[in-house]
This record gives sequence, C-alpha cells and structure tokens, in this order.
Amino acid sequence: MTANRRSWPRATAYLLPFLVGTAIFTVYPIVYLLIVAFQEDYNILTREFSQFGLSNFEAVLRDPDFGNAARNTALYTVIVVPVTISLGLAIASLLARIRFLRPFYQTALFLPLVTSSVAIGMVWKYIYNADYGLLNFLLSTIGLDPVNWLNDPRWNMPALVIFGVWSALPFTILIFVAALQSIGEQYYTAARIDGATVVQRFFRITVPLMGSTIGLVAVLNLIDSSKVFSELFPLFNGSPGAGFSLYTVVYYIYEQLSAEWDLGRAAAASLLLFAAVLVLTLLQAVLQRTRRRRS
Amino acid sequence: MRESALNRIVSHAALIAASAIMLFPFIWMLLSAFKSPTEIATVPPQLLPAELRFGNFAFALETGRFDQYFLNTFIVAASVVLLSLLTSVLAAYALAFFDFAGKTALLALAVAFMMVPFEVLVVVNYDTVVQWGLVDTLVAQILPFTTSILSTLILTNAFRKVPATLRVASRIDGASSWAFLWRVVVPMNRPSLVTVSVLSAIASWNAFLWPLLVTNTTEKRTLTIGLYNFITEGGVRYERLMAASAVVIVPMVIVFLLLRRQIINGVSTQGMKQ
Repeated sequence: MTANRRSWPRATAYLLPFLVGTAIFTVYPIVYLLIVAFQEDYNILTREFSQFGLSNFEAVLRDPDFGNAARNTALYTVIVVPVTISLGLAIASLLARIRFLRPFYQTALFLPLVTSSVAIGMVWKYIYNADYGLLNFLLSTIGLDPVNWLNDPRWNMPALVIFGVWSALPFTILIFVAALQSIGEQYYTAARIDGATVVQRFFRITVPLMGSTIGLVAVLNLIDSSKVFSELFPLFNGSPGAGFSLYTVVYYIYEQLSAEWDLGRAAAASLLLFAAVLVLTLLQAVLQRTRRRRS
Repeated sequence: MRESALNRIVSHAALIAASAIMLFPFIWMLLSAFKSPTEIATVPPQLLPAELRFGNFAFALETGRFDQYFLNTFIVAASVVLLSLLTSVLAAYALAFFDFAGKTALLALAVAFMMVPFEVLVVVNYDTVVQWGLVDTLVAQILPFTTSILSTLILTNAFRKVPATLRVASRIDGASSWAFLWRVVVPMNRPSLVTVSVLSAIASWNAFLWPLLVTNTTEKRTLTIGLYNFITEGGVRYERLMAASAVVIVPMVIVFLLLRRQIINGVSTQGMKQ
C-alpha cells in the first residue's frame, strides 16, 4: 500500500495529458449527452433550456423522419451484415490455408481498409452511372436492362448495399483469417483422411469452431453498418438517396446538428442509436454464453 | 498430407476473382483519371485512356484547390499522430510500470468508454467546439483526437512485455524513470509505435463527419470534405473527379504498401480488443 501511495504522484504526471484529453472529448460528452438529451428547448448559443423532461425523446420518436431513418438503417444492416459475414468467411477460409501469392491477395483484399469511403465512393458513383457506368454495361452484356441505380429510389438501397458489403469485407476477412489460423491443422488433416470434401470440412469444422468469432465480427459489423452515413455523400451528392430513400439515423443526427442546431434532439437520437447497438451487443454476448454452456 | 492439386487451383481461382473485385475500383479510378471527357462517357466503356493526360490532376490541384486541402489534411494528420502518440506513450508507461490504487478500475473504464462510437460523442464535441469559438479551424479538427484510448491500450500491452529486470538495472545505473522510458522502453517498442501511429494517421486522413461539421471555408477544409464540395459546387465531371479521388486515396495506398504487415496486425488487434 505504501508503494502504491508513493507511485500516485508520478503516475498521475504521466497520465495527465491522456486523462485531460479523454475527459474533455470522451467522458464529458457521454455525461453531458445524458443531461442535454433531457433538457427541453436547449439553445446551443446561450446554453439555456426551459426544464428537464422527455420532450426530446418524444419529438424524435414521433418524428416520421426518424422513423424512416431507423427503418432504412435497420434494413441496410440486416442485409449487409449476413452477406458480408458469409462472403468474408468463405474468402477467409480459402486465404487462411494458402501461402503461395498470399502477400498479393492480402494487398488486394485489404486495400479498402486504408481508403476514404468518400473518395472510393466517387468511383462507385461512376460505376453506377445510368448512362455510361460500368455496372449497367455489364448487365447489358448478359441481356439485362440498364438500372437507374442512383436516381431511382427503388434501386438506391441495392446500390448502397453493394458498396457497403465491398467496404466491410476487408475487415471481416482479416479478422476471420486471424481466427482461422489459430484452429489446429490436425482437425483438417483428420477430416481429409476420413475423406471429407472441402465443403464438408467448411461446414463441419470451420463454422462450428468459428462460432464465437462469427458472433464478434457480426456485432462489429452491426455497429459499423448502423452508423452508415459518409457513404451517402459521394453516391448521392450529399443527399440521403433519391427522395430521402436512404435517410439514416446518423444522417438524422447530422441534420439536427448542422441544419436545425437542435442539440437536444441530436442527443436524444444518438442515445437511442447507442442503446440499440448496446442491446444487440449484449444480446450477442448472452447468446454466446448459452451456446458455450450447451456445447 | 497435402491439399489436392485441384483443390488448390480452385482456391486460387476463387481468390483471384475476389481480389479482382476488391481491387477493381482502384484500377478503374487510376485509369479514368487520365481520360478525356469523351473517353470517360463512351458506351461500351473504354478501359484504357488513349494517352496519359495529367490535365485532370492539374485541374483538381489548382482550380479544385486540392493543393490547399492536401496541406490541411497533412497538418491535421501529422498533428494528430504526434500528439496522440505522445499522450498514449506517457499514459501507457504509467499503466504498464507503476502500481497505483485504482489502476484496474481505470483500465476497465477505458475499455468501456472505447465502446462508445465517435458518432455518438460528436453531438457534445460539436457543442464544445462552438463554445470555444473554434469552428472552422484546423485546431478543432485536431483537438478531439490528441488522445486515443485504443492506442493507449495497445501500447500498455506492448510495454508490459518489457522485462522488469531492465528497469531494475536502469535504476541501479541511476537512470530516472523518465530516462528509462525514452532510452529503453520507446526504442524497444518501435513496431507497436509504428502500428498505433499508422492507424491514427489513416483514421485522421479519412475522417469525414467531424471535419464536415466543423469546417465552412475552403481554407480550412480537408481532402474528404473538399472532394464532397468538388461535386456539389462544380457539378460532376468524372475524369476530374477520378483524379481528385486519386489525390485522396493514393497517399494512403502507398502507406499501406510500405507498412502492410503493421496495418494488418494493428487492425486485427483492434478488432479482437473490442
């Protein structure tokens, strides 16, 4: 205990810059968010408010725009996460057992990790162009009609989903490869001796042993895709899709802040988003635990 | 027992196809950046430009003001990397080498706070920047990222692997704990320092929501915001847009090619940590 007390002043000196920065830009925002969300009629310039209450949450939950945003975000997430996980696991299980050409594959598959989604989104915008975009040309070669990906509200979601899966795949593959490499080679060798095919090995060994990693990656992707926002700016010139077809929760928060200057509503909306993410994260943890107990 | 030859050929074929799809937008961007306005809009699409035209790049840098954006982005990213590295190294040193009451609680709190996405913190941080009168400054783009819980935790783990005997030896030699940090701990942990630096550089370079909120003018914009304004203010000219996008993307691609292993390791620990 004496050693502890003597270490305090020195430790604090080293910790101080970190603690100050984190206190101002991480801890204080969370605490203040919990307060300001309950302050009615908050004015960002004067910091005045009328009273404490639930009116911000009421306003957000009654707002048809927020309902639309929540529905779009949920739909996007529900499609992107399973597609990304399935494709990611398939590609990762190929990559994990291969040495030849591995640096090339890693470079090609992981490059989007370091890429600005706004910048590469501009390339997707060009690929999606209705008149001379590459995707419609490819569709025409197999005899399909051109699609107005970016201006027809019905096709906005598929366009965003394709771009979203492409963006989420590298991280997913990377984590899966790391986890797969920790699975012992002996399982696969034994299965091969027993005459199991590649597909059987995938479903009987890889998938069961990867259960917890799949859960983890699912949650991480879920958190990420529930924040879908910056991808909209290149594709739709900053609008949330044609006719607000892709209005998302973070876009709603952004608009409350930048257009309405309504900090209270923005705070209420971001707490709702955080709560939804937290519930799903905890749910995954609980499912994981019961699964582990059963096996 | 080895994988059958057929299996391996099929695996490589599938991986080549996946790689081609992931890589294609980058190649398409680079090729299109050299095209003329006619070449960019031909049907069927034309793969290669007839000649290497650098005019689109010149337009982006001069008329599109990407020279200014590039400089701003560089200043912001370099400041974020240096400052967050400094604060993280100091904090990680205390967490790895000193025993003090409440350390375990502090670490647990740090992990909990790391789980809150920046998109949630943005609301109050915007309020802070407005109150401090820092809207439309480079400082506003740097300040919230001068500390990083993730970097601090990665470095704490790395520093813990420094043998305790080294510390005892340096103390016998009369070295202060400050000297031990900079002469022994920091040089020994160069790979981890590179990893956290490159992760924060990538995050800062590609940041979008935060600079979008806190900048208003050309003089203070970073590349990603400049690129967005490039399409809203100037209309869409794809050959110029592809050149401008390349200006944003290529520096990070070069960083990736040079530091691939560190980035892959860093991202996978980042994923496993959460």
